[in-house]
Parts: sequence; C-alpha cells; structure tokens
Amino acid sequence: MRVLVALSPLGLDAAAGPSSGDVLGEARDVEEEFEPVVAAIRSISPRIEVLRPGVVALDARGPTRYFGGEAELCERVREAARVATGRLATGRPGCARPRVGIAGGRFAAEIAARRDVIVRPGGDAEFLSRFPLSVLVDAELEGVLGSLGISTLGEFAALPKGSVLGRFGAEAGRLHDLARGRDDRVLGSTPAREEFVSSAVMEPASEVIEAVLRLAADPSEELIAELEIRGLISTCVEVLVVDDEGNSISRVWTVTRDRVGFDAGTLIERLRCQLEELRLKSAEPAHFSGRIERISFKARDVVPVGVNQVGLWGGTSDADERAMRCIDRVQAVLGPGAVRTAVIRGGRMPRERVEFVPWGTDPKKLLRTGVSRELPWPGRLPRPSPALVHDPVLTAELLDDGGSLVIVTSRGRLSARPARLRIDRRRWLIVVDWGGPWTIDERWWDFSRTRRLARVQLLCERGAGYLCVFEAKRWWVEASYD
Amino acid sequence: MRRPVPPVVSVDAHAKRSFGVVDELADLLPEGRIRAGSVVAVRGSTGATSLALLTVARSAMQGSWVAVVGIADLGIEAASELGLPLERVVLISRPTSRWVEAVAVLLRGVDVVVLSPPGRCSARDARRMAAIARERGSLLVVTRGAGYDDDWSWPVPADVTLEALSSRWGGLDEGHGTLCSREIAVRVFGRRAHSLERRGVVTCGF
Repeated sequence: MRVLVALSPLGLDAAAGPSSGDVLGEARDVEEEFEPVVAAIRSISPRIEVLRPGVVALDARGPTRYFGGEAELCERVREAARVATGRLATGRPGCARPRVGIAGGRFAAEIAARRDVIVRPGGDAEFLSRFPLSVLVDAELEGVLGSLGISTLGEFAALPKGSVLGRFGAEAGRLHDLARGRDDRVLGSTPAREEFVSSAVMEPASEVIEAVLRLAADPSEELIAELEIRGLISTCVEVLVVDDEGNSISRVWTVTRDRVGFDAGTLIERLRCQLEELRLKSAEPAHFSGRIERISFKARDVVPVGVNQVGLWGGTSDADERAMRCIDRVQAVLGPGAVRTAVIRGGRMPRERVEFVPWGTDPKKLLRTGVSRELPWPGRLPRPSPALVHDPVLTAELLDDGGSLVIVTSRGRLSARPARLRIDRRRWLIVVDWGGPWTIDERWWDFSRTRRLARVQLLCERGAGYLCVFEAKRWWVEASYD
Repeated sequence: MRRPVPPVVSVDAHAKRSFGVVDELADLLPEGRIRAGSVVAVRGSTGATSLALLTVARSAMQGSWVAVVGIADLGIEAASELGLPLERVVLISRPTSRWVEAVAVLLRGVDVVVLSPPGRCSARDARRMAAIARERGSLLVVTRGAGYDDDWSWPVPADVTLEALSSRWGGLDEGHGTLCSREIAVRVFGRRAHSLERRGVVTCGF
C-alpha cells in the first residue's frame, strides 16, 4: 500500500510542528475555503478520503503509475491544492503552502506530509522512529512511557507487542502498531471486508436538501443498527449520492475523533455537508443534475466495539456527544479553521503561552515534550491573567504629567511617573498606579531575532488595567485586564 | 425502521432547569441562579469580559460545554483561572458573516454560548437567537469587551443585564508589586423597566 496525504494550509494548523509560528490567530476568513481543495485533488484521483477538515488521503498506487512517479504525483497534488488555495493565500501573512507526503500507511503519510517528504517503500518504521511520542500518543500515555525512559516512536516500537497490550491495553496496542509502521487502515477505494450498505430512493427525485435528509434518516439508522447487532462500529463511511440521470458522487468520511464510531445523526450531518457542497459547486461536475434520486451509506472501516472506544477523552456523556456533534456542524458551516480549542503551555508572554488547535484534533496531543505550564517561567507575571490578549497588539502612548513620552531607561527604570495613557488613539485615560517595569531579553515571537523589551502594568481610572510593553522607544498594549 | 416521534415540549419546560453561578453573583440575581433558556447581557467599560467568564464558570465546571463566539482576543489563561475547563471550551474567534447562523446551531447543542457580536446585530436576529435559547434551554451570554463603545447594548432587552461599573485592584504601589486581588462593582437588573435593580461586589481575584 502507498498512501498519499495532502495537508491544505488550513489542515496544517492541525498538524503544525512547534516551529510553525502561524497558529496564533491570523485573520481567518475560512468560510468554505477547504472545499475547492478537495475538489482539486479529486480531479487527480476520484477516490479520496477526507481524514479531517484540511487533510486528504488517497491511494497513491494508481495515480503514481498514471503520472509517472511518486514525486511527480506529489507535485501534481501540491500544485492543484496550491491553485485552489491561491485565492486565500495572497494577502495572508505567513500563510503556508499545501504540503504532500507519501508513505506506506496513513499515519506515516500524515507525518510525511507535514515534512513534505516521500518515505521509501518499506521505510515507514524507520522514518517514524525518530519522531517524539507526542505525534502519536496522548499526554497521559506519553507521561507513563516517559517515566520508562521512552521518548521516541522508535523506542516505543521496540517494546514487545505482548507487554504493551498487557500493560496499556488494546488502544495502546493499536498505537504501538502505528509506531511500528503497521498501519492497515483501509483507505479510499479498497472495499470493506464485509458489505454494510443501506440506501433509500427518492420518488420523485428532489433538489431540496431537507427532503433528502429526511429520506436518509431511515437508511442511516438501519446501517448503524445492522452494525450494532454484530457488535461492530464503523469509523469510515462512504456516502453515495445519485442523481436522476444515474450520475453519482461519492465521498468517504472518517469520524472526527478516531475512537468512536459513526452514529446515525453524524451520518446525516456528513450527508448534509456533501449536499451543500454539491449545491454550491453546481458546475462541478458539470453533468450532475442536482435532482437527487438515491443516496446510500456504505460502512468501510468496520471494527468490533471496544477496540476503538478506549477513550483517550476520558469517557463522554450524552451531553458531550451532543455538544461535539453540534460543534462539528458549526465547523461545517464556518470552515475547518474557524472552530478551535486552546491549550496552555509554557512561556512568559500571554500570547506565547497559549496554543490554538482546530476543532477535531485531540488537544492533548499538543502538550509537547519539554514545554509545560508547570515549569517555572522566570519573568512570567503572576495571576490573575489578563482577560483580553490582543493580537495584533494595540498601539499606545504613555505620557508623564508634563506631556512628555515616558520611556524605559537603559537601567530598566521609567523616566517619569506615568500620568496619561492613550490606546489606539482613543480618549486619554488617567493612570492611577503602575507596576514594573520588568525587562526581558529573549527571543520572543520572532525566533530569528533577540529582542529587549520591558513590561509595565498600568492601572487607570475605574480600575481598567493594562499590560503594556515598551520596545524600541514605542509603547503598545499587549493585554487588557478587562 | 420507525423513529420515535419527539414529544411536544412546551416553552416553559426548561424553566425549572437552571445554570449555577458563583455565590457572590448568585446573591445579586433575583432567583440566585440563571434560568435555562435565558439571555444575559454583560456590559461595562472595564471588567465586562471577566464578568462574562465568571457568569458561565460555575456551569462550565459542572460539565456544560461553552462556545465563545466573536471574542478574538480572549485571554485563555484568564478563562482557565476563572474556572472554565478548556477541554470543553470551543472558540469561534472570527466567525465571518455567518455568525448568526453559527450561534443558532450552537444554541441547539451546546449549553452555554458567550457571544460578542462581530457585526451589527439586528433586533430580528437577536430575537431569533433568544427564541432558540428558550426552546432548547441553553444560555446565551452577550457581551462586548474593552475597547468598544461604552454605551453598547443588546438590541432587545435581555432577561438579565449585568453591568460592570468599576474594578478595585490590590497589589500595585507606584512601580512595586503586581495586579492581584480584584473586586468588580456590579449592577444587575432584569428585563422590565420596573424590575428591581441590585448592586454588589464580585471578587475576581485569587
């Protein structure tokens, strides 16, 4: 098996390594941004699987023959995705280009895509071995393994299978297989071992999405019930939509969180996405009439209950499931990068202490080795933290009683008592008290340069507090204690 | 396969459910809690963001999911320090022009939605969101952080309005110390003009 994974710039956020600095809230107008990328890659290979928003996988074997080599195929996919995202890439600072990788299995291919490389056939295990555990396992398992002196995938893979299963359970056993480069998850056009298909026919054919969705309710529930009876769940379902002229469009969907199978409600949401995409892209494919006559659901990745359900999420309630489904749906409305969660990590400045993670990524995976909120961070301000952290920062002017600019001297002191503060050229505020300055010499958000800056807490009338920064003879507001 | 017909639920069905709030805030609320299905407006030129977070902190700790819409510069650490478990907090920082639609979807599945409208909000949209919250028993907290117009208000009367009047901070003294303990003076009033107004102080420090 050879798997190609493409990461769109949006999907990159999910996969970004610690060195990528563009995860902090740049202006994102991501509405429906990802759909053109899917369409562009589909034009290269019709059987694609969307692993997560922004992340597409396909079986590379056929197209490789067609395009005359894996490097050529990668370049083709990269170019198609780049053209499709080109519209958004312009004018967005630091916007990454799409990345593409090929490897023997899906997991290795995802890692390869982050690095934009092709892993040689049979080389998955070796390629993966040097990556830290955090790319695969959650913080808890990482901690336990870390205490055993295991910090890379290679070291994890070297453990005997039996002791991993015995000590950490089935889920860890599955991860252990992935670390060893044994990733037999079915992809794209490979048929499921057993056929689980459920479909419904519209009479007459309809263009109304809500009507199609109503019709789809029964087959979706039948499929799930059918699986349930056999003690199975499906983590990958192909949704097929056929028009009244017999043209069909199929799309393979994977569950957002790798561990819980599809339920009927999620299937309907996925179908809704697919139908809305069809309606928006009515020109593509040109022959599709839009009058939908038949829909069918086909379970692809089918596994016994329990294998996948060892929740790294620590168990979920009905309310959690409902909330997560609803958030999936909002993500479908607004675009993949629009919905995020946040994790706190180490750092001195408020902005660098938080990492944003697109919804659907396991946030625990972002708690990386070597950076921890529990570590003492010299120079970090004590609690409470500011309720607003500005990004971009706000310009500020700080004057003394006589109307002169207050500066921080080379000895790290204020040149005068601060008296008045103006933020973003709004009205002047009276400064009633202050703390600092505290100076920092460090590489800050710009890792390539060292900077020297000083921070001051300013307390203004009515108890409005600000964290201001002085650098290169200018003030700005980093955060507000709103 | 037949699906069960959902039972007809009256609009008041959620009235008995409620969202808990921290004690000092509870003292200021007419019933000591916030009814499920309410719209709560939080405003004030300083302290509104902290007060909004504090309003939803208790229910978040008790298991509710919280969606924060339109607050691009939310201080994540502050939210965490005030008690919001980040694993159940989703951020929709820049929700584009389809934010009303997004909020409408969220109110159907997430217990608590904190919204700072990214654009003008019409009275019609505001009423629509309120109706969904009432129907689903969710909580919509609308706010506007520092830096916006002081006289911001929600286009239709909220069930409860919390106004942060001013904050008193401890810890600073002419260059020494850091901001630490904080008390926010709060004014609370209800939907109707004649509803009782209460004032009090909410501690927001550590």
